Amino acid sequence: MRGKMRGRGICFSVAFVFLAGLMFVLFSPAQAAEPKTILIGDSNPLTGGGAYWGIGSKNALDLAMDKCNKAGGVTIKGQQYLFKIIHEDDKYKGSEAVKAINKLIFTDKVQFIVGPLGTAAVKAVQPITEAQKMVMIIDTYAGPDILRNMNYTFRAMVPPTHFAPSFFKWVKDKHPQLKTLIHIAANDATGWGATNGDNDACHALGMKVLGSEFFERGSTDFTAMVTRILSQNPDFLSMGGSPPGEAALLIKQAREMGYKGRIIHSGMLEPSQLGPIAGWENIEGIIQTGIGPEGPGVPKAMKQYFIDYEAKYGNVNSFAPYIYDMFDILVMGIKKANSLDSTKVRDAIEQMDEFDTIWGKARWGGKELYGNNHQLFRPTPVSIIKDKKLICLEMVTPQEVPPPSQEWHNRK
Amino acid sequence: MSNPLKIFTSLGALAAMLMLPWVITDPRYRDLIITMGIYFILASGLRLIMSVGQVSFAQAAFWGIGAYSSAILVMKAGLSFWLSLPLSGIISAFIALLIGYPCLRLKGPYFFIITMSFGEVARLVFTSWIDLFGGTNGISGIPAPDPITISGVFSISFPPRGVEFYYLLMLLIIVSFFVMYRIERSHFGKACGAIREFDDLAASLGINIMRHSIILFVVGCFFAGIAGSFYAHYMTYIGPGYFSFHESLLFLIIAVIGGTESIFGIIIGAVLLTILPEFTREAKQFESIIYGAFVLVVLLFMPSGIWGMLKKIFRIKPLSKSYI
Amino acid sequence: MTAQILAQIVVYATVLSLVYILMSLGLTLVFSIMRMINFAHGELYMLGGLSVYYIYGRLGLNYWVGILGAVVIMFFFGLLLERTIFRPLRHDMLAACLASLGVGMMLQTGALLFFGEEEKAVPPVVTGTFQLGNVSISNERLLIVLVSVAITLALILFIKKSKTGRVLQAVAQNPEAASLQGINVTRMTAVGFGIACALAATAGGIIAPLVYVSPYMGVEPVLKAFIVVIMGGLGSLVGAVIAGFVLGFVEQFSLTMFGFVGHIFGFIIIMVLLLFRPRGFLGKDFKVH
Repeated sequence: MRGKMRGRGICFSVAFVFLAGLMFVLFSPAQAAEPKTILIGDSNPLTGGGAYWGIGSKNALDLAMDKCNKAGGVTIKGQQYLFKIIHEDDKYKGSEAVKAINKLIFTDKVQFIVGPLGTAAVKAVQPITEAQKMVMIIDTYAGPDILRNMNYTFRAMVPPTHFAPSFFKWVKDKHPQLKTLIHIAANDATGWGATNGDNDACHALGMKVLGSEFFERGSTDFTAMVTRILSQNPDFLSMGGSPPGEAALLIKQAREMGYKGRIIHSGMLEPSQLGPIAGWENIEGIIQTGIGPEGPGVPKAMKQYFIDYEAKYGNVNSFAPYIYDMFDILVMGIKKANSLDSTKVRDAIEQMDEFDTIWGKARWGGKELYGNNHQLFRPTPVSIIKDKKLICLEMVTPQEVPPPSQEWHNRK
Repeated sequence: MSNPLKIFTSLGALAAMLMLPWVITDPRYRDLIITMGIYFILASGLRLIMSVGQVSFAQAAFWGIGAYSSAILVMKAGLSFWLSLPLSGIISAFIALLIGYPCLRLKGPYFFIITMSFGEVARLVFTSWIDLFGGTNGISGIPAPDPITISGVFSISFPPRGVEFYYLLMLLIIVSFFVMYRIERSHFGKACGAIREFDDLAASLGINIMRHSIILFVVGCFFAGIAGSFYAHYMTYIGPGYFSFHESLLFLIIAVIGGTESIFGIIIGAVLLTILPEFTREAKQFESIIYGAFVLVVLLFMPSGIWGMLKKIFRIKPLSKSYI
Repeated sequence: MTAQILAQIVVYATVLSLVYILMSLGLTLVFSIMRMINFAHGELYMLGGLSVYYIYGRLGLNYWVGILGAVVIMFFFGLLLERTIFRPLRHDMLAACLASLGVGMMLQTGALLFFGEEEKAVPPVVTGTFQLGNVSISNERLLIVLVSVAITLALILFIKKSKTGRVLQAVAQNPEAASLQGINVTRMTAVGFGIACALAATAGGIIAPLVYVSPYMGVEPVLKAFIVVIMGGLGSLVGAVIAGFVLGFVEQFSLTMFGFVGHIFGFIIIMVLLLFRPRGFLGKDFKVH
């Protein structure tokens, strides 16, 4: 028995070592950086709860990089450079993000960082990237702390603080009968960012916020929450900051239990993902800020982006368009600085005038709120789900100075 | 400590620890070593309560309690780090006393579920009490420890992620190692081994099982709190996600993979399980599969952990004669 | 609190409780026979959901064929797991627990690579809603209520009345005595584990159309299942049923009354209940053998 065990042990160990070796060979990067390569680090959740966003980001960045490399990369002081992105998995955890960023900075010696999403991850790595003077382009919904006193961090995603006032103004103009709401979000930093931004905007527009509800990420039963909501019967449910899977179940259960009001999501929900889970009839008429290839409001460049993405990956990821531009912005900064020095690139990005993105004209701003112009402002879509499709109605311009914060957690 | 060989080994280990930053200068690897050190303190604290046969799944919660206490004491109450470091250990220990007293009557899986529930309660409190704990955004901008200055002679300051943190952590490790080693060697430690193996017999011999369990639990959580305090000021940012049930599981894996028989097993566990994910990082999504396979292989073929296997191969005589 | 809300809470708490009970059946069986907490339970549940997704959702076969497929596949998968991993570790409860954690990790990531990161829907089996007094409830949920009551009763009957069930019970109560009676304890343990995996898969398959399938669908429910099983008492099925109802009602009431903070009260009530009943509702003294 013992001998058999040992035999199997050796078998198992050999198999394990072989497997590990195979992985290593298959996935090890080209160690030697070619003289003409600019290394960019990307740390995103490729596994774990945020995998949908992380994989979308990875795909979008690769797509943008391929396009740039095909066009010849950039030329700096007569020398041509191509880009290479190194992707790391941060498992949607702050502590793992630190390890990933350390590896990118100190072992891979990347020159720039794009992509960390998730407030915990960004806050955990900022002490390192700032000390290393590493230009980092992030996307998160976190509060103003994420940019205040940060010299090298840029946010290339418009958080609800800025776009919610314009978005909800559109809602108010087109649907003046919507006067009361309850906000629902995941109980994480993203959810809190959306709650505060959306509720401040609605409050400033004279709508009445009846309450804010939170759920644990990964929850599948929202019946207790819907019971609470039904007892107050708001005109609409504002669901910004709810991830797609949870949002779908929430919609399904709210309709099933008899909620008749409108549903508004200040985020992106892809109908082809949402419909089968929530029920197609339940998602008709949801107003949201996601974008797809269809509708009168979609910019031309965005349409091209959707064609390219689908040609390369064969599917649609509703989060990817938000990330795609990050790479282009960095390249524009490098071109403008005509240098790879991170401080020069930082200055160049800060001084960029209005520039084109797939979303339309964009610019940097936010001095009043953050103390620096490190916040991207670009048009935000207003879309509606109609006949199982996401139709982008128009693009609205986010507001640089948001309404005063009401600190929604202190209010009942 | 009469054995000259032992003194020699200890001095060697100490010298190696002091010299390490000169050999490993890469900040990435220094950060990993610090992570190992923190995991070592946490897992060895967990090992204490495991020595009476109980497994706590709340170790990460006590780690978090220490981290949050220290951050709040320094940032809101304005205390010095050097005061908040022991204080956060004491706060953790005090909560462990309150929780441990009723809960340690429970055995096996019942203790598992009650400690797991406590861990969840702690995490939910960190998440929900926004004014004090910052909610899901956590607490950022936690200051570095105050510089130690002896006027005119020397001054040690703590730059972000500097090597000074390494030496501070080594000091904490040496203290915790020494305390745990003494517990293990004492009459008290031997009684704990007896409780684990034959609790009825131990009780009939007049060993107070409850008292022993409580003391071990409280000491383990004290060091978890200390580790938390260090972690908060080293990372400068903490959030509720850091102290979840999954981290408690990680410490348990470290302890069992390394081998709970000896404190050296915990060292091996902490080192291996910190290095392995870095080594297999290139495998991207396959990483977790390799990790899981590694855990399985060790559990299946090294019943008393890696230390147990090394001991068998090299015929290492036990340093202590106790069971833990 | 109006009567309407109270009725809603009671109806939905009953559904939630039955879902919890359904999810914990397999875990209870493993716990009673092998004295181990199976951390891979959530992933076995997930595999059940995935099997139904592929057989029913993608291949377009009948839903119940999908469930049957999941049951058969997972039963044999359970036998395989038991033989290769849990049998060698049967004398070390802690090692077995951690091994199940490793198994769970591998299954989860394997599913991520194979299935993708996106949540996907299993087409509905029944549609429409049912009006129960002034509470509306979907037929999908009613189906789950019926199926989980049926499965729970069937399992209790199987354990109490059938020959195999009684043998399993004997093995769970006292393996040494069972072995002296000429029962092949090793084989029965394997069969028990196989049945437990099949039960986990059934739960996944039954609940999948109500929610969605994804590699992470088992992560959150499994913690609740742990609580139900252990609060029930050492692998007692009836205990688990009681615990399921207690947890379901405590959660539904506290979440409806207090919102998110209700989670904290839920856990505190569980801790207090455990302190008053340190061996669970219907448990005996805990001994590792």
